[in-house]
Amino acid sequence: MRNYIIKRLLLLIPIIFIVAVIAFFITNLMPGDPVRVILGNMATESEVARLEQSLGLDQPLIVRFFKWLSNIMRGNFGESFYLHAPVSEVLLQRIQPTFLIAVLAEILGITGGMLLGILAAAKHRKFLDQFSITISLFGISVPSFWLALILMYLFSVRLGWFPVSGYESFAEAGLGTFRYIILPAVTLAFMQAGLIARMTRSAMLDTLKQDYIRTAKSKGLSTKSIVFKHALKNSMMPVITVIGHNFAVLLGGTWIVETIFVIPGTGFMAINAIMRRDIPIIQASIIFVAVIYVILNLFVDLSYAFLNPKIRYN
Amino acid sequence: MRKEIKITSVVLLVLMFSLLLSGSVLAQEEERYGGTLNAALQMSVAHLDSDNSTDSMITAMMNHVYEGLFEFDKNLKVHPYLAKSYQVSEGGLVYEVKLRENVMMHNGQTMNADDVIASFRRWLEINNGGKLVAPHFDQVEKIDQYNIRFTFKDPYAPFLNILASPVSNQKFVVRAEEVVKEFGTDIIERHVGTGPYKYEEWVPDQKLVLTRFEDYTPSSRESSFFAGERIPYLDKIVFNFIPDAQVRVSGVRTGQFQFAEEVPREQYQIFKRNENIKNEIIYPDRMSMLIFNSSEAPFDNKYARRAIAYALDFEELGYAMIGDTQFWRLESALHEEGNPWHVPDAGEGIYGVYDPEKAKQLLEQAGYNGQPLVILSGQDNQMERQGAIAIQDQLEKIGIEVELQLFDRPTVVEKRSKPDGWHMHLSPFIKVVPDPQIHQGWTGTNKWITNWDSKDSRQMDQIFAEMLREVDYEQRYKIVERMQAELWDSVPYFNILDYSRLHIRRTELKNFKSGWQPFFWNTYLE
Amino acid sequence: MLFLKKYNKYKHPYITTSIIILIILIFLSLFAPVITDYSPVRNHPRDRLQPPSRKHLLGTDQFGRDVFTRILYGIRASMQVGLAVVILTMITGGIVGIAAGFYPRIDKVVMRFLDAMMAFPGIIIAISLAAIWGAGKFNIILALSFAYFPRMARIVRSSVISIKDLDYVESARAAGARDSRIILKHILKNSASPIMVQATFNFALAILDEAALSFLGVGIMPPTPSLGAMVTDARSYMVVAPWMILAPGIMIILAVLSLNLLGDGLRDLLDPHLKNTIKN
Repeated sequence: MRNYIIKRLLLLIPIIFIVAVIAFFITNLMPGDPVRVILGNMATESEVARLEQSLGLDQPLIVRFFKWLSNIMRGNFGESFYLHAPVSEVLLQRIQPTFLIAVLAEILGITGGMLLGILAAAKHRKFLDQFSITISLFGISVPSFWLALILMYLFSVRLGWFPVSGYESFAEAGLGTFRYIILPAVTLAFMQAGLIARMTRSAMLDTLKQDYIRTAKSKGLSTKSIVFKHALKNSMMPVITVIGHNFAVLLGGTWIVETIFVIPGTGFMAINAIMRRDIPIIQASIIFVAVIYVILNLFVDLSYAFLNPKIRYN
Repeated sequence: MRKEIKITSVVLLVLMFSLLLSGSVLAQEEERYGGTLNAALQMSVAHLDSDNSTDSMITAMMNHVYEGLFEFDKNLKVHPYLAKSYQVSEGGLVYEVKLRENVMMHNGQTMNADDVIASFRRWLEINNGGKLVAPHFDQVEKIDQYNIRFTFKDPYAPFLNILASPVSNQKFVVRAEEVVKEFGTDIIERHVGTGPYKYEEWVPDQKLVLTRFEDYTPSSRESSFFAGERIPYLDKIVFNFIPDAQVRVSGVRTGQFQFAEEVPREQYQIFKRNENIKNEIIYPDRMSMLIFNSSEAPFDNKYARRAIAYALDFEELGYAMIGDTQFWRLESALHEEGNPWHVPDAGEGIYGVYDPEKAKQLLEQAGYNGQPLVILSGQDNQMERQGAIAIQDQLEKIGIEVELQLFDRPTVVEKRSKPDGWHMHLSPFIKVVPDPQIHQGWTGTNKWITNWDSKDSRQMDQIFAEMLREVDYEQRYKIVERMQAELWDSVPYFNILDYSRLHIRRTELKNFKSGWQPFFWNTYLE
Repeated sequence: MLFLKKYNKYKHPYITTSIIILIILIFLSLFAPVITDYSPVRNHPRDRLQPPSRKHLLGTDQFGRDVFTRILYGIRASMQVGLAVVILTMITGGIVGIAAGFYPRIDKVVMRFLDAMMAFPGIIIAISLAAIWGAGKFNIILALSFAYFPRMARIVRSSVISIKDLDYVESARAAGARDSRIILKHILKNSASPIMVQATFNFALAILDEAALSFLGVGIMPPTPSLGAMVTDARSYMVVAPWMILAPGIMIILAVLSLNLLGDGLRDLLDPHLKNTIKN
């Protein structure tokens, strides 16, 4: 087991390296001139040249690449063109809302998704099954930007239950923070719930067909206890896979949802950075999401071992 | 006897009444103080150093922190502000400025000539307005603690107007000498000015917080927009950067914000029905400018450029670009009606004349070969985006092929700075231009993005050179008339129409004056 | 065809429902010029922001363009993008997947690269690439295909590996069949089911992501109608013209939902064991 973990960790290195290379070239090949955006409408050529020099953008791409690479090896992601602060510091400042939204969305998604999935499997081919299938299909089919706007219109503009936008940190507002993140989290939870419900349902149906369940049934155990004791436990693996794989998709989703609800998280920061070509921030945001993705997937693979001792890693 | 009693009683009554009244007025004055104003602004800024940027939003916010030697009033007339008085002599070569005394700065010291001179030198070196002045400027001298002499090499007519310019970041503001010394030409991150509010906190992309400067020294002149007395009633002003318009609106509806900049004009009627919200239509505000790339065929020929003016139905563009007619008006001149530099008959015979046949004929005359014309514009500005789509539609209706290129801001600014790859660019310009000389920044040989280089452009340069030296208003106005005539003859760009943004505020925000830039001194919360 | 035979046998309800919806959508988008008299791009600024009426079934937008018409043409653009992305990912993913599965020597390198690609959420790759190449239908198709092909490549690779060593492939090889022939005849035939299922989900995802990109302003270039860009426009007018936001959103959901339903149905029908290995 330990060898396996070490091997997996070593495998992360080339992956993250490729991610970093892609991130660097994607961002530096983008058209659009950050310098002219910073200087405003009527900037003169000499001002442009001066700022380009001070940001190091006048050097050849390949020189910049190796400089950048040696810097990030040492954990230095550079300084934001716009915010005049180290990227890592900016990222840390913005992480709280994104983290809260993603976790809340994941919790809502798991609860809702598993509930729907279990109901559907327990009442296979009955009304509840159809109902939950429809809801979960809707969940994976609705565009999140549209859903966000509709929720905002209904619950914030019309009913006034939540503030339309903005954010107060946990330190400032305590539990009040949740007023700001509920709608964004619900928006993202829809898709998670849809995915998880579908996966739970089919995994449960598969398990319920297994021999040992039939044995349990013939022994006179009630359906309820079968579902909860045996089937659920054995359906966890595919469900965990979905959660692991889709947490990164969830983080991608925060890019759009945070922009709509104007929440100063990492996603809003990333979109903002793209819109004004704050290259160091874009690079760090991409690497951030990718690193979270690979680490989570490592955990998913490892959790298989705990849930299913039959799997051996050599 | 009776009469005396009568008079006495009347006098007494009047006295008593006025006493009561003054008491209540005082009480009211007192009640006005306090409260936090939350304003929702559209765009965030990169930093707060106005000299180091051309972003007018910086000046708009920092007007509360920094003040100018001169400031404009409601009618765009310039008044001394931190200056007490001034004198111009030697045919416009020498300006002697007397400063107000005992004006407190945020660092607890009083403002003196050294602060002004340090700030001025920095302005002259790096501010775009300063750079306009610099080639003509000779030197600035300290006469004594409160007197300064500015000397020019040659007469420079727009000097005071540019010092006080409310647009872009050309305005000259007074900073404490220590701050200028500390930061030099780098971006200033510590702010010490003389304004009614002082810098408290800046969270990039989120908010700027200003608090009342308790030792503020107001001007004794009558208050009118930026000029005259400023009273900081509010304890705190928070500028929130909220890019989404609907979010700004909802914030005002719920009372989260007391003021929101640039909200959807379509919702005017809805706000009007809401008793908590007041509409503020800004006049004259903006103009939509269609800029040609004069180095790229067919627009290297002025007949082709003129053709586009005939090919477009400006009124229909107004509906498509802006919408409701109370927010836009046709205006052929660069200065709005009521402005001292307004030329009423500018563009007669071409402006607003919709004549597709003539357009086609002019294009033919210019040798246009039917290639698709590229309109380059931004996605993020409603006027640009919708205007570009509407212009494409109109030109295609009369058989001119158009390729639309709408990009985000960085791509647009990069592409338009190149000499080829685009034909037309639609851009919003600030209409409030305090001096006609300012148009020189984008009008003339190879100015801004126009790539305009011809006999006509050099003639335009000549006109601006004359304008620069002419100190007499009447004579200068005649030059402005010539400038406008030349502009509509060779058309390196033209203004399609003027339009207004809509701001909204809560009714509890009192004494708000809707100007070209929002300001909150003298306003109070009820 | 295996698929038709199976379908005739089971009459799967998902497939029936989704195919009916899809046929309606395809019909609407193909015959848009016949169904509506309006142009999707011509402006009528004086008729702007009209509420739904008999003249304009779903009202008009800020340029006075008929929303119903724009939706018909919008779904057409969505379908075009979706179809093109599916074809491109099948080709690129197929080639890469077969190469990796068939030739173990390049497998390791290719897999590391695919792993790295899959570490980015697709939408992030697509946003970045669309920003690089500029907006426009063609560039969106490239960006989305680039974002989706790794997953397709993995699926193809694993089905290639799983059947490469089966008896009949071995025997074909022993009989002297060339690699290309084996690939075409046996492997493609046998991996058709998972590829088809994944392709259907990619189709749905492409429609969703195109809408998201257009919503962010890096998608299809105006004035060409795109459902996502219509939501962006509607956002500014949400309070005064709510009809503008509902219709394009519902249209996106309809298209994506029916494609997902079709994918589910295909999966059930063609290969029930795939349930736990493919996701979208």
